Amino acid sequence: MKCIASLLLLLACAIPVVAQSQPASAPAQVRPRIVSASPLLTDLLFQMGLGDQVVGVTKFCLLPDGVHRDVLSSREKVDTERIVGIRPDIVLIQQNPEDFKPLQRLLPGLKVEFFRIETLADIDQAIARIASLAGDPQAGERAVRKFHADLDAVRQRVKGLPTKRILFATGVDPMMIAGTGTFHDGMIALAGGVNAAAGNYDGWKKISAEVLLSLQPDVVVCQVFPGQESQTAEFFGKLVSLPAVRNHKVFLVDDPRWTISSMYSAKLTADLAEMAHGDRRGNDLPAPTGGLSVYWIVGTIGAVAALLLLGGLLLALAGRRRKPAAPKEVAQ
Amino acid sequence: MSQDECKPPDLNVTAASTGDAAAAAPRTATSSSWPGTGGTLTTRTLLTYLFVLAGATLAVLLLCSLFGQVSIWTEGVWELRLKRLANAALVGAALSSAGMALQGMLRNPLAEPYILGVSSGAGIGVMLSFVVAGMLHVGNFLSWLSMPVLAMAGALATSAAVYAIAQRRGRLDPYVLLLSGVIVNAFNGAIMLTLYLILPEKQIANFATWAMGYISESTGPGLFIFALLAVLTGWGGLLMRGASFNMLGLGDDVAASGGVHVHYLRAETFVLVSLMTAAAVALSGPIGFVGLIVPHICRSIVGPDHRRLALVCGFAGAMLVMIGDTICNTITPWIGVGILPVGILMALSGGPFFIYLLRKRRARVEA
Repeated sequence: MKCIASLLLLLACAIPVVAQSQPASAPAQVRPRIVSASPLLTDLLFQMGLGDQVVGVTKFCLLPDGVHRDVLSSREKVDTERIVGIRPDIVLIQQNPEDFKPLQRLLPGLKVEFFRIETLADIDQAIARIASLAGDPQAGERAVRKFHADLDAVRQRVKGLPTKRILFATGVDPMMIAGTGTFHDGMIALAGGVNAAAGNYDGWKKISAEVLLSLQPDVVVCQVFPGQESQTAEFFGKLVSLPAVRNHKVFLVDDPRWTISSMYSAKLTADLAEMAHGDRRGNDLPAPTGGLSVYWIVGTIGAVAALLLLGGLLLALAGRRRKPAAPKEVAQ
Repeated sequence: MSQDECKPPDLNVTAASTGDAAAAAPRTATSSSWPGTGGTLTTRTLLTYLFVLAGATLAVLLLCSLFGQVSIWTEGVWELRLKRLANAALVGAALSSAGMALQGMLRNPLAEPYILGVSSGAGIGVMLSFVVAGMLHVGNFLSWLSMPVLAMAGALATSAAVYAIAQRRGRLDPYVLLLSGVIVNAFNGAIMLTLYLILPEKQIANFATWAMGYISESTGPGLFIFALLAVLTGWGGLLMRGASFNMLGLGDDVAASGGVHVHYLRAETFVLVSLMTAAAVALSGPIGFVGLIVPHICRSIVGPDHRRLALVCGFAGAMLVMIGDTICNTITPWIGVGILPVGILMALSGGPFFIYLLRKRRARVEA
């Protein structure tokens, strides 16, 4: 009887231990709910397989096909009231952290994590940190390995090929170019090129067309919004002295990820290498004949004609004035 | 006593107020005079002015074309630079002539398209064209056509609004006019911000650059020719009204007794000013103070006679904006930016000039 009682006592003591050890893994299953206030960070989260934890995104975030999340921002700013409504655990931002201080006062347990991602090297650190915050460091390690493998593949592909002067730009009139210190600078180097804007321009800079001519890029990749291709093609079509135009190496791209540094940048770097070194031909540009010459011919003729007309008018009126005989007194 | 006689003398800008009434006011019609004025200015003098100033403007254009961020001898640069300078010349001629006309017509030294809200009215039109182009995905043809047309409509509507607010029984009060301009400017600003909110994302960058007063080197031929014709028409129209502005400087009643249809003249001038301002704003965005600085400088050089001023202001404005744009284009690498819109330079120099004029007038009144 004593033995049975002892066994029952032992069992009773063991149950809480087991009970404690069983649910020990349960909290690990409850992953933090994340709001991403940046398209770049949203992209990283989904590519790392952490998309299930994302509960809110911005208007500009690109989600995989068929995936929908609450949009918590207008074009101008993130809507903190709506974030309060969702009550996330973490908000990932690239904006000024001070803007989120009121939000943290309303939600005391909320973590607001700021990321500065400007170069390809910054992506590694961001991946590791996001994975750690999301409670899945292994996902981060896997993502970093894949990212580096993709970049190494590009590096191997362009090894030994001649270096090309590559320029990445967005828009026209004025054009904005990626200079030193941007992640495009790193992408260009990996793709076997040299950034045509490097040395003269740090970061993103707006430039005029004449500066573009002076940079003499062999390859131009210009990001355009859908619907602006013809205007951009027309612009480049006029710059006949640009090597990229002569070599049919002006590429107009409309994928917004060209300006979002993420794991997808590895795939775009491979595209860039293909554009620079492969047989791929750039966009068809309108024939350069006409544009400038017609402009100048018509403009010059118009201006000269107007001047002559003005002079003639003055002379004619002066001649007409000579005829009246009686001068007219006008009140002082 | 008429209302004109009651007007505060500190805001009169024309010959009457500067003590040069005899120089500007018409006396008798002579056989060699400029039509409709009866003044002593001969056509030969005006033609001499025309050719000398045209030559000087051409010289400035060629000189400015030598300066920039890159060598003029880089292939293709010369052509691009001349295009930009041609645009700058048009913008300068338009804004300074418009400023001269407004100052003469309103007898107000502080009047100019930017301050009276005409530029912001044209700006609303340009923004509307951005919105339309972005939403309807219209092609280049419609884009360049809609921009100046809408800019013109906006400028005209604003001119009409300012005029309607400021006039009382057909007479314009200079103080009320300036305040009307300020109010309408603020109102237009609110409309522009509202339009910004509905502006398609792809047009935001275009708008931001345009709003800073940037003279483009890739303006389409359609817009350029449209603007050229608008500016030449407006300028020619103002040249023909120089004598009337002189008479108007002596007061509405005197001008009316001298055969000037004051109301018609004001309406015509507002239309011509709107036309020129719309062309300038469509080409370069709102560039302020050109219409303020240039007429004052020209008046101090060639005197208050609007027949001469109308001609001189156009060329001087063209030269000033070309020089300003060249300075902006040349110094950008030194200040660490890619481009520096000329509108910024003009606002930086025009603001203090405006304050200087205000204080000078006040000091004169107090003396």
